[in-house]
Amino acid sequence: MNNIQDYVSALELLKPHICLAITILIVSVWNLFFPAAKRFTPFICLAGLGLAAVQLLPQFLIAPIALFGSGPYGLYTVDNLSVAFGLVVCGVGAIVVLMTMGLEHQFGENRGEFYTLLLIAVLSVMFLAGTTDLIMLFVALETLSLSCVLLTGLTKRDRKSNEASLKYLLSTAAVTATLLYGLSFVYGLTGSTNYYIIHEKLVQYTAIEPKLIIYFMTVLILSAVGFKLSAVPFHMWTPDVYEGAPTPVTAFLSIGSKAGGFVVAMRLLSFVFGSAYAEWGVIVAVLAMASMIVGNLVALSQTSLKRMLAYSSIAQVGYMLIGIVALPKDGMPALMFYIIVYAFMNLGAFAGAILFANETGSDNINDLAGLMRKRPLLAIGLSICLVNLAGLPIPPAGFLAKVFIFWSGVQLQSPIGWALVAVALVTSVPAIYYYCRPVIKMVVREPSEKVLALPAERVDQVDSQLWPALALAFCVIGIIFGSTMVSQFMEVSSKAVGPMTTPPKLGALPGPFAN
Amino acid sequence: MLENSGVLFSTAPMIVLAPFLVGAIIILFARFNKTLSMALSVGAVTYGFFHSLLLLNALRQEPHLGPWQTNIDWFVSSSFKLSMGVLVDNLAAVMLIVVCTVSLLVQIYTHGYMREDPGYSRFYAYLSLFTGSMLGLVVSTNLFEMYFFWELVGVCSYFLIGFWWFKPTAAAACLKAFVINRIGDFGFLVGILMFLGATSGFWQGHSILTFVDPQSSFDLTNAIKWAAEHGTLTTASLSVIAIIMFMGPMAKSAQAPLHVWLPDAMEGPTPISALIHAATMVAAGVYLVARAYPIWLTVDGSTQSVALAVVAWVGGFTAFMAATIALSQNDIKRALAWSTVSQLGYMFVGLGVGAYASGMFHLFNHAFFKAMLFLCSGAVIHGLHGEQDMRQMGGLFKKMPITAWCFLIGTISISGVPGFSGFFSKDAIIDKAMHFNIGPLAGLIGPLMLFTAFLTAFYMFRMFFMTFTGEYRGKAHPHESPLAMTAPLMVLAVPSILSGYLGVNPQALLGALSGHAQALPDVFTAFLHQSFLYMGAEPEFEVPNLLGMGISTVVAFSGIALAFMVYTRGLGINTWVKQTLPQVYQFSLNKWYFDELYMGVLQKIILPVYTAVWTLVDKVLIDGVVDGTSIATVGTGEVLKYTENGRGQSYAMVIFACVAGLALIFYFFPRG
Repeated sequence: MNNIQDYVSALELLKPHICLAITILIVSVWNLFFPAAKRFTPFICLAGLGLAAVQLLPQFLIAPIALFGSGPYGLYTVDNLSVAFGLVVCGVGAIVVLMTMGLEHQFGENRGEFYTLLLIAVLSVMFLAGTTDLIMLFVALETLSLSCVLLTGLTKRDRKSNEASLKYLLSTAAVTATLLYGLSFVYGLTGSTNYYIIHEKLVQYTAIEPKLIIYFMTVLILSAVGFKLSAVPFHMWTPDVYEGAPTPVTAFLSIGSKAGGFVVAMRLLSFVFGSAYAEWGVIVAVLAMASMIVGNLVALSQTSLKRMLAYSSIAQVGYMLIGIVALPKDGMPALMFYIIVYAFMNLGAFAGAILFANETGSDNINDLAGLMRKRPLLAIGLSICLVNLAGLPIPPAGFLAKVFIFWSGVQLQSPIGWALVAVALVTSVPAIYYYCRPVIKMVVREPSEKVLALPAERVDQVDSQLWPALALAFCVIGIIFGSTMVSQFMEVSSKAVGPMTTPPKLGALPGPFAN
Repeated sequence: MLENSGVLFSTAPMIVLAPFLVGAIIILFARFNKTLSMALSVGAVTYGFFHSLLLLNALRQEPHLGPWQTNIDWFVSSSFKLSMGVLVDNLAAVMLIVVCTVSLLVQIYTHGYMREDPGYSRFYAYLSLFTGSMLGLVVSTNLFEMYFFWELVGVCSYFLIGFWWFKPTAAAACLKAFVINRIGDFGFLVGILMFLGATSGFWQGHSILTFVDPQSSFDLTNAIKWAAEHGTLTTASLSVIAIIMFMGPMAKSAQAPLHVWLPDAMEGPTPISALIHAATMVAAGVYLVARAYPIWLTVDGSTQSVALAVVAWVGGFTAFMAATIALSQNDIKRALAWSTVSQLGYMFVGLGVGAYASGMFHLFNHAFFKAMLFLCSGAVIHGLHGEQDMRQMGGLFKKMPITAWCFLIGTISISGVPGFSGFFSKDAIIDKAMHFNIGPLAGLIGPLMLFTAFLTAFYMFRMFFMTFTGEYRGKAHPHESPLAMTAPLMVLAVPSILSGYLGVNPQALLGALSGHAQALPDVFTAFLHQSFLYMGAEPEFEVPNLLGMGISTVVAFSGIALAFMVYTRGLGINTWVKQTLPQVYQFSLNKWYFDELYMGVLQKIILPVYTAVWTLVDKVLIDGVVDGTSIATVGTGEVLKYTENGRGQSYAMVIFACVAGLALIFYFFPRG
């Protein structure tokens, strides 16, 4: 056994997670013990997330260290990728918390539970980000899924919410089955649950010739990843769940839990199944194309802002998957950049939708008409997010994200790459239309009845709208930073997805299977 | 006096930044103070005007100073370096002058025109932002940067078209402009990416897609050379890229078939029509083609390329079509808009037949006289309290003499009467078009342009006579506009007469008249050619073609004479056409039925197909599994089937089926 100092220094790497876990514990009992101080719950969450992020920051760029070792490898790895995704998801969590702060009445007595579950989901994504073992992967993924299911159904009195939650649960169960089936194949083939061992064994195995079992295994695992990402054809749950869930939860699902899906995909596909690229590359490409086509075409006919964003997030996943297919050609940094920028623009759009819904009770796109005349700042902020989602260069963060990822597809110089980019370009035309329709409505249309009924803007008074507005402002600032400091963002992105192939040094924290 | 040229150039970015800054200040702080908003906005562009003038002068006196550029690295990676910067060369300097002059005068005019509008300050903020974006577009150092500003001017344009949002037609026009420009910009972007794809190996470590860079020679010309040597680009593939990229200019500069948005854009306030939709933004397409001219050439830099032929034909067709439409329009602003479309067509013909200097020269001249014509029409509309129908005008010459004289000067100039600016540039284009020789019908384009010149003279004087001569037919009490509005008109009248003389060498002209024909350089072409040095060390100056000029003159005067006979002497050709050839008249009046065609295609083909496909997909694949109901009910609202049972099981079933299906398909599918 190592000495105690090593043990402590290894344990210190888990400080962010511990911070968050303690916050979860506090938040879960806070309402019970201090019912009078209910309104502080979100602030505790923000503090916990902030603290976790602060602890995460210095871990960026340290040499990768594996924890919970069993044999030469660990269950969990602290490396750039896990830190980067940890930071992303902490940021997402914080913005989502801000969004909920005008909306707490929706959760009634369940306020504490809501924040507890949200933080659990954030924590599980953090664990997913560093997972280097199938067991750990499964546990973290299930934690994420179940907390998301509960979040979806949190507005108990709302029938849509209940039904969405049930549907989500049932389809999650189905996907859990396929995932486990797939994992059991992996274990059967390689005799290990550790990423590094599986990787080595698979290199030998795929060198022989393609086998049905490889396809089957990758498809089974892709189904679980695709489900988390809501990629077509594993997207059926998305519209119902996004529609039924409370809007902040939808916002979290659209990027928080997707980030989890992406980090799993990055690690599994690029590294563990790296040698089977020929097999899964085509499959992912097909998922990507199907997602782009279906997502964009269906989003085209939506009249509800929330539903439009939900369907369009399917399409956006299609674009992001190009980065995974283009893995041999700088696809990963482009994908990472896209995820960061997408987090800002998508959350901003949701924050705008929430701000509007809080005041008017509507999320119909037609009701947005003329908003510029009553709430210019909200209209401008929401417009910036939507225009960036559409990929127009004003300001160019969203545009550059698209260009980088399409460019990585072009660089593949293969029929798959061409097809992907062609589909992406063509489908981005309807995307521009449906994203910009609300913008045009807000700016040039005559105000709708709902907008006309809005009271004049009060600048002297701090109200419940302040916090979601802060979330929107934060996202817009993020977009502006993403547009101006592209080089820096891209550098961080490339560092984050840096080589995963070298096994990390083993930390002194023993795992459950340690001898 | 040029010791300071270093400072002069290094502060050039301020020309672009000042209007942006002012626009932001007005929006954030000054929007409640009208005078301050106006003063800031006018001040920024006045500064830009004088700075541009100094730059132009410096470049003229010391040609070796240009092209000058400065770049900030915006994004750098191993394979990719994206820069934002400012490029000042002769071509850009000419455009800077055009944009600053027109913007300055339009902003002064706006003070008179929008004085009572509640959105006065907001209007100035938009004007400043637009001016900044347009100047940014002009000084862009590379295609990507130009694309950003290209989008930005587009956005400003939509805002300004929809400025009077309470007019439903304005909102519709805004949407139309947006949709059409999206189609064009899509092509533009795809073209950029394709070009980048073909030349990606060339730019290693250098700013990608730089227009010109004689120092390091990492620019478009050399990129094309490199790509041709490395086999990644042939003349054919370059032409394909150029044609796809040309969709951008087609939409922005309103060329058929993407021209339909510009006449509708006249729903915006008239100063906007003058600034954006006549003089500057719509010329951006022409400027792009001139700026990135190597892309439109063959790989070895010759003008014998298919892409240029396409440019010429699109321009030629548009010029002719728009002229025939302008014949029958009764709205004074829309008639002018069609004439803009037609004149832009001339510019593209100029670029397309290889006469890049003539094309740019026409842009230069057109900007002044067309801005003036629009401002005159604004003065008329202002004087008639919003009346735009020319049938309700007439006899305004006495009521508003300054406006009428200015309008007359503009009309003479655009009609191509010798001695006025429009004559020189248009004649140069027609002259070159006559020698166009690419493609089977190449010989047609010159005569077509000549005939269009005749139509131009006719419809422009039709407008003049209908508006200013005869008896007043309306009910308002016309009055002359305030000085803030008439002064810009009078200022613009000067270049409308004189700017043409920059493009001819008087000695060559006199020589030709006295029988000693010789080719002598003219100021404009010689100056502009510094930006086209890849075309050869010296531009080809031509001997003045007296015969061509004579024919042009005859054509212009016959058009004017015909208009005079019809609209002041009551020669009934117009009513005769209306009665005996109603189809022809309706065809022109209804703008060749382009709008009907597009709406028909959209409503009769695209939407039904979309609905049908999705109903099918819904029924066959998704129904009972996925909630796809909204898809099939396009436009009728959503119906959520939340009450149906058994969805959960089918979800699971679909997931399992997809997994099995995907695995099997890919197993049996041969590997790529």
